[in-house]
Amino acid sequence: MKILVVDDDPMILEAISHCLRANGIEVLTAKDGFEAIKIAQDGNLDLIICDIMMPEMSGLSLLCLLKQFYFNKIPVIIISSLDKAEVILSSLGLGAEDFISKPIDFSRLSSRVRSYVN
Amino acid sequence: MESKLDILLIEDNDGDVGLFNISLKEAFSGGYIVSRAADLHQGLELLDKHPFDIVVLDLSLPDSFGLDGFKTLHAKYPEIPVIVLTGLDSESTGINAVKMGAQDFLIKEKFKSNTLKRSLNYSIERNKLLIEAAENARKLEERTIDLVREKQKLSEAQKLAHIGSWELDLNENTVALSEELQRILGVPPEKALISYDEFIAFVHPVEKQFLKISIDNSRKSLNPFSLYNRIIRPDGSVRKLHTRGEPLSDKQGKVVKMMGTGQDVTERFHEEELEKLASAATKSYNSVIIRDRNGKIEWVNDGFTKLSGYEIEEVRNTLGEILKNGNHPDILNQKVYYERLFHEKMPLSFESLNYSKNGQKYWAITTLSPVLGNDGELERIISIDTDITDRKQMEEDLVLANKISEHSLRKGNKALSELTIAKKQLEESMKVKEQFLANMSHEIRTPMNAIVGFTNLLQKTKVTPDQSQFIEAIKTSGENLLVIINDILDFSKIESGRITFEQIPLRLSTIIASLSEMMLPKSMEKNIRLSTRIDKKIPDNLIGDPTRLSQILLNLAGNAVKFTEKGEIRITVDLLEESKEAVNLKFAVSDTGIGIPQSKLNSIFEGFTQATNETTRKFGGTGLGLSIVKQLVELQGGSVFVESKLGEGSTFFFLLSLRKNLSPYRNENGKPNDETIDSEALNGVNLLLVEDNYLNQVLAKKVLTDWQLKVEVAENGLVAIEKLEKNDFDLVLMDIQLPEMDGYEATRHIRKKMKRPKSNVPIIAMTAHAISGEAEKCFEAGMDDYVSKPFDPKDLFLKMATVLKKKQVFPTPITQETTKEKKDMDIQKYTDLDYLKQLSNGSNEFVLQMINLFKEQTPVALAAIEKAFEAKDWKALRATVHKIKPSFGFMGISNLKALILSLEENAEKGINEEEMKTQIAELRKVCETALLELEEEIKVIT
Repeated sequence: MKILVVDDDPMILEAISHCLRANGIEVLTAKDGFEAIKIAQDGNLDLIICDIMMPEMSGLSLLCLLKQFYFNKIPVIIISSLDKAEVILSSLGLGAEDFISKPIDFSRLSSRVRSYVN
Repeated sequence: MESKLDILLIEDNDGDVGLFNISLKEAFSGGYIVSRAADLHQGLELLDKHPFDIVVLDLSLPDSFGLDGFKTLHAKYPEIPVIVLTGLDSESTGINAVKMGAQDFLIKEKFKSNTLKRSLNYSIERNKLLIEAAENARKLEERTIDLVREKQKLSEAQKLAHIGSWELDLNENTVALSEELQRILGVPPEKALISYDEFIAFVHPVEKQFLKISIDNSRKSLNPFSLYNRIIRPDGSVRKLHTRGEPLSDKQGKVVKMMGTGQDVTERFHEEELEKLASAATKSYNSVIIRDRNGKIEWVNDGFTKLSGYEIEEVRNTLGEILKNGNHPDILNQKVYYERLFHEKMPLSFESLNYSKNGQKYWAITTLSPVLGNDGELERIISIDTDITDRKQMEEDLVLANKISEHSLRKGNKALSELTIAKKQLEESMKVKEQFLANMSHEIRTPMNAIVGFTNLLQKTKVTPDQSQFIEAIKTSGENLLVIINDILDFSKIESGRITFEQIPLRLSTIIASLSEMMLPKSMEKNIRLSTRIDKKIPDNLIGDPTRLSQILLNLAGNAVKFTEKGEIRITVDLLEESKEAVNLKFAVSDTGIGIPQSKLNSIFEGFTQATNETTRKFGGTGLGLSIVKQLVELQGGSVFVESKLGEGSTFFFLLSLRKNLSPYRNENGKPNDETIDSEALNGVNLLLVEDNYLNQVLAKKVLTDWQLKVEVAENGLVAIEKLEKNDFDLVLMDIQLPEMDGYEATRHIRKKMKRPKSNVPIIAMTAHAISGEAEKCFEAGMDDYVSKPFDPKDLFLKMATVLKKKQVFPTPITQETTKEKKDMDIQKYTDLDYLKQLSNGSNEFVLQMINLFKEQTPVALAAIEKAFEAKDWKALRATVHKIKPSFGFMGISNLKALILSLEENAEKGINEEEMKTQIAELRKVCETALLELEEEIKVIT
């Protein structure tokens, strides 16, 4: 079980990583979209968790790239404080499997993650 | 030694020839050869054969006179210098000859040896110079042509390399632009010369100063310069330029000009970015094309080449028209998509027909996705083609198949097809209905639970007789409503085939007795006699579904009471047949009521029908009762029928086969009728009630505290887990449908994630779901038992007592005074690490890591916020505040929530500057205190 977490906020990266590792999951992190793509190319990821508001490349652009290139089979969960309907819909429309709003409810996150793992 | 002067003299007069020769001898004393021709004709012949250095021509010859002779000769031999001889009287003719190209003229009688010599020498010399000059002129002309060609080549080269050149004239303060630079800057051809200020004006405001300084420094230091700068074209587009320049000095060493180049490197920058994207796309199996913002192809992957047969070189910088095989409408269509993407910036897909290099047709579904730049504008387009040729083929086949089937339809299969469609529609509508009913079940039963439950409680309080009557009315209505709801739910369950029948011991006498008990109040009210009779031969202990049997009988008896105004209602059970294992029974419910019209007897058991519409108005009900009865009977292998006479009454019969219960009677159906409640059994038990509905909370709490239980309430699964972690409970009463985390999830968490003995706590589910399989789901999740809502207090009590005994957990009153005290002490603090510690799952390392991140981030963010405020850069301010918001959550700094929200709003709108100032100061103050507190925490942890 290997999950990539993409967020430009180091605290959120740390918290999500910890939460997932506590569930026995191997966690990789990336602080921007380009790094994420690099990691996605190398590793056999089972899931990608990704923020929207990031510099350089927004999470939605990343999602777009991820879903339409090689990695289209990897489920993606979008996490964002932009929890307006249109953002959620466009995330899902772009192929995200799930949307979790910020501030993150970590038990929800782990239960959602578990549902993709199984 | 120089060669001899070769002279041709054309003169007819021998005397003149002699004179000429004498003068010539005097002048040159040898070193010359003279050939003589007597007339022009002979002269021309000689010239044909021999290249003379000079010709001396008499202008009066036998075959020519005057200027004509010269003209003929000069026209034929323009490069040979000619001196003409004239008579004394015709000096003007000589002058004319010179005008026409003769080198000189001599007057026969007057010339002397020295004039002749000078004239000959000069003529030859001058002619040479003239020829040279002509040659030079020609060469010059050739060079000019070459130069022009060079210049064109240079221009081409510049164009290819996107390098343009410029020349700054420091005296004039003008800049000359090469064609390419004009193109790069986007200025029209007539603006090849612009002022220095105009030149600088092209440069991006940020880099204007850099270019000026570079040029000035270069002038002073005499060193070349090189810099990257952006320019803005008149149309507003931005290009990236590599600008180079060097000073040019005049002879005195004074710098008079600056010369340099400007190279458009926009694409090169793009290429670097492209590489990043390309590396991602290379591995894709699909055909991936990266296009610029206008749709022009910049890059393609191997998948594209495989699909289309074209290499990147063949399609780069085109819209891919080649794939359309010259089909213009298609190309136009595609352009429309690119334009749409440009404006909407949302991905879109379309199908298109393409032609590969070998002429093969293929269908592709193209998805265009925008890649946006930092400014949010479209930077480029990623277009992914998926080959759907096979699918298209199938679709075409399908169309064909459809046509064939249409044809056969016309032949008479139409009805069948319609039936299929109707069935499908029905199935779909059933699905929707089922879902709706399942939802309604929860939505209705929850409040009903509260209504019925509170009514029961109210009845036990001291009320006036009037009030008691009202309460009774509420209770009855509530119960009726529950019956209706159950009807609807049962109906839907039966329809969807999800109903299951239990096979448990039942006592026929008990069922009939309780039926009669239930019907008695109503029948007495209407003054109707109610009698029951069970065939004595029927064994009392049978096996079947007591609930369903009661339901069938209740329905029929309920109808009987409803539709009967006077007379009697009889309920009878007769034995039809008896075998070793089973009995065949005939149940009958007859009344003396209004009866059913003959025409309706057949449809009376169909769903949603009542005898007449009037029936509904007069008697209410769902019209589902009999349908449910029929289904319940038939699903158990029985049959149902009716006899009726309008105005005299009706009798409903049903036949049912029930197995005999051969083992001694045990009560296994969870209805502990015979047991009594010993409220002492639960005295002091610590119970956690997990229920989100406030009314239900109060109701359950009231019942439970009546039994001397200590009750604590959690409104959702998460809170329940939190409370379980902190305190010990003897028992959990768990609702299923909860916000945040539902009952199953919470139970699973408790069973799997929590440590013993907490993970062992008995859990009883309270479920309002009327859907079968609910019990299995409860047990699967790890629950010990379940009660359905509205719960029967007796049932609940016994189940609680049972699970407590089973788990052998006895009341152990535990209070968590220590935790509570600690909490009180924490109140003064800004930070609260409870959440973080809970997240950490006991990892101090994680807590420390998070605190350290907060320590690193916060001062930087605070400084950035203050700086943004000073600069009145509200956008940056809001962004930074928004960015650090989560970190306060992690550190449990909850009292900043409102402040942050308000600050964000102010910044977003750019208002309330004074308030923002205060808010930022407060933010800093809180953060600084928080940081101090966190230092303390670190000490405690490490």
